[in-house]
Amino acid sequence: MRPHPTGRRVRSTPHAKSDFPVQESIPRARPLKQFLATSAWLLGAWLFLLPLVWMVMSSFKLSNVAIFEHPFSLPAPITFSNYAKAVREGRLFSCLVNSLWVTVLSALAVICLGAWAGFALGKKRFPFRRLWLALFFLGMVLPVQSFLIPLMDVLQWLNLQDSLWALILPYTAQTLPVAILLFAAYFQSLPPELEEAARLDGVSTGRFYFSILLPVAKPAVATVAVISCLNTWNEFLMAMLFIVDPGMKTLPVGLIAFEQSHNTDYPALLAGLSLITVPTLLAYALFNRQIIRGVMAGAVK
Amino acid sequence: MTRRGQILFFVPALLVFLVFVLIPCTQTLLDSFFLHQGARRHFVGTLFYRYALTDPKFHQALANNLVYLLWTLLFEVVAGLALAVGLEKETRRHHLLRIAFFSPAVLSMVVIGMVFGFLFKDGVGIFPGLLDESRALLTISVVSGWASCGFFMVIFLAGLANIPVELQEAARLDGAGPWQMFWRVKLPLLREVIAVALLICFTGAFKAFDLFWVLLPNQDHTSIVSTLLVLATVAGLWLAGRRRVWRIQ
Repeated sequence: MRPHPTGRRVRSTPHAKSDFPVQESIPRARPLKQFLATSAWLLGAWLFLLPLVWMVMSSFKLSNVAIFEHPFSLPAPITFSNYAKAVREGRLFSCLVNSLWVTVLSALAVICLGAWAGFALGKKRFPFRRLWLALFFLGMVLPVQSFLIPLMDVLQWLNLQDSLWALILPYTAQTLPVAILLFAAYFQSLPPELEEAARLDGVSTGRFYFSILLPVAKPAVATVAVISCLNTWNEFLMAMLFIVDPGMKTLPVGLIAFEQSHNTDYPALLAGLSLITVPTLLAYALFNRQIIRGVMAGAVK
Repeated sequence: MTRRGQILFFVPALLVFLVFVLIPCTQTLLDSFFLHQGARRHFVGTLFYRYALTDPKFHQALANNLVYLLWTLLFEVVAGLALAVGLEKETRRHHLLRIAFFSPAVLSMVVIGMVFGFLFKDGVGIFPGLLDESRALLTISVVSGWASCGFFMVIFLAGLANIPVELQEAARLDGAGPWQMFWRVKLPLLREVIAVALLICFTGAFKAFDLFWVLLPNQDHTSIVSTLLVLATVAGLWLAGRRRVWRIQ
């Protein structure tokens, strides 16, 4: 908790200048102004979230007419048949399973490989350290659109096309730079005595890494996991190009396919959209601290 | 830890990165100087670069990309900065509002594109006509601002939290109002964070693809460089008769 009173408020209550968190006492200073400001913020937030609210609300409506002629009315009666339809006809369940596999496996790979490499690059005297960091940075800013064809060649050469590995490996490779930079920065911030002490106690490098370093690096692991999962779960371009087999599609691509086959059945489409959005939003509500910390760390480091 | 141990730890990640990012990138660069005819290739120097630079489609896409970049600077970065300054205090109310404004950032751009696509649909949608030729770029920028301003807000919040309290305290004692406080104290101290945000916004504008693909299928005049690239990729693969016919909308 840090008091951050703005100048305006403090000028109205000059005596409130103190090191204590004084927010509780400030609103009483100008109740009307405070009330108006809060209402404006709440109204703004409501308008901001309205598209999502509209999406979920409309997914319970019976027909296109109900959605588009009375867009902002509550669904009456509420129906769940759209959801059943979306799951059944959109094959969204198999897409969900694929998305889960891809997300989980590439997050694990990113954490393992990224933490190892970050640990190595965190050492000041690693050979060509700056060169590697620069290369990884380059990998972070290059758009994937620029190397799609050679990447497909690589996948074909490895005989991976049309399997989930054709997504897992490129996703892993593209999230690794961020992960490595984060882990390197994190391990550098740890006291070197940690490793010294472990070495004096005769702990092997492998054991030191798994039973000391990784547990200590839990915050960095959480951050990297969040970044990796968000990127992978929502990725669309490669998922669209590299996978042709309908049974191997991930959720965003499955949704597009569903839209093309049912392009006027809005209740079912909106149910499908809600279906893939609500888990993400729930995960966000649960882990919003970690997610926000992940974004902050990813950007500032 | 021995030098060899370090290298052993480093090699797996490097290998994956090499095979799936660096080698394909280098290959693209090399291929750009050659003309491929079946299995044979001829060195053509900068022919393709000259071709691209004189291609009106490429010009259009580049211009669209720059316009999009400028709009997203406003709707993502500036809006994110405004939100961050407005929701800076560590109160419960501000935390809840932050959660609300960040939430679109966790969603898939495909979902966002489809929802707004329904809202903007000609004929039935609630706001028809926003995807017309003349307005589409601005509309998409607003949508992507809606999706990403929370992300930039979080970045700026991290930067604001790093500004020493004493500094703001001192400025306030010297009689700085909120406006002066922002321009004279916070903004200069956010320089580095702003640079990062600009970098992210800049690369993001050139990586953008999903929204354009979902909201504006088959529109030449609003294509940006990345959609052009993807279309060229697909067309190239198709012409080369590679593997299978790509089913693209």
